[in-house]
Amino acid sequence: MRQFVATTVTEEHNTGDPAQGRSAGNAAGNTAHRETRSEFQSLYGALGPQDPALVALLTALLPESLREQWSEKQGDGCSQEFIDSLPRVAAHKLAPDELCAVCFEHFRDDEHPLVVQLPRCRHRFDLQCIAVWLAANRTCPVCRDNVCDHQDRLKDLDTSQAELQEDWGMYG
Amino acid sequence: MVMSGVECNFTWATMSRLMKEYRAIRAQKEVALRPSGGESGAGADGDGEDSLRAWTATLEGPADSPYAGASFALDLEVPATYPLAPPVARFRPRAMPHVNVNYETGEICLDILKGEWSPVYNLLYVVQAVQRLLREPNPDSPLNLELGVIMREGDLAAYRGLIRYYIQQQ
Repeated sequence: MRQFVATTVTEEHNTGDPAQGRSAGNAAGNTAHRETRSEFQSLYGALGPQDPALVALLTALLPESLREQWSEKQGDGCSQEFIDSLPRVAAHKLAPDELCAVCFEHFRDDEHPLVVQLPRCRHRFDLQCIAVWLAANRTCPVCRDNVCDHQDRLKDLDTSQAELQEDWGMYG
Repeated sequence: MVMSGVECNFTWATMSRLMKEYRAIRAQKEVALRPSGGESGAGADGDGEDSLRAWTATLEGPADSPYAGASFALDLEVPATYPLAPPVARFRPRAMPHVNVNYETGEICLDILKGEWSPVYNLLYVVQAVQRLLREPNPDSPLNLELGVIMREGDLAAYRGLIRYYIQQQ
């Protein structure tokens, strides 16, 4: 389970006496937090993470401080289908100095760059680089936008049309 | 997780990125970060793999902190899956009295070294983040419980005194 990484990072430090280093009130608050979280976790698991309405509802119920953490840490990564459906960026649209934030290579250094753009934040990466990252993570490496939020929206988008329009630019 | 002494072959992509980082690190003067085995071989093409696996930074204690006047070695170990996985950064055992550092092992509690890592970060950024941690300790996730308690109680004199005491023991 990876969704509670941030929590366990804190918890795993309590290797010594649990009372040590924490006031009683603080400890009680943490326990309550943890219970609420595991409740959400089981609810969430039972109903399936693919239901966007459910996710929206649950997210709205969460305190703001937990919300970001929740949305970022759910699941292990994006589906292969989603990764394959990321829109390609035509080579002529890439600036000469534009580089991939994962491998630090300039896109244009490659004669045939295979670059994709994330749907909402529009950050661009080599398909090869972002594919490996998104297989295990759900956030944009640059801005931490939850990329998979847009999984369903992207599915409805007619990308064949977009590619067609980009091709027109070549001859314009 | 730690790759000490274990054969770990970098992919071409990892090696290429490390070479870029190496050049950028050499070109700057603010952070003292070097391959642990010294410079020889690291600059040559192809045969630098081993030397870019382990790095050592020297952190100067910030002037406005209890660490002023002392310097600390920070070791970085680059995993085979870098930059998809973060480098392992740690102080030397029993060398860094800090709320967010395990004194016995040198392990550091820093979000970007764990769940908040992103491949956008690099070795230089990690060292700078640890340097910032010296100035801005975070009492909410203590690895050094003794210092954590004192800090939470707000006894600044005791906090500074204990850190100075530890440092002078070395």
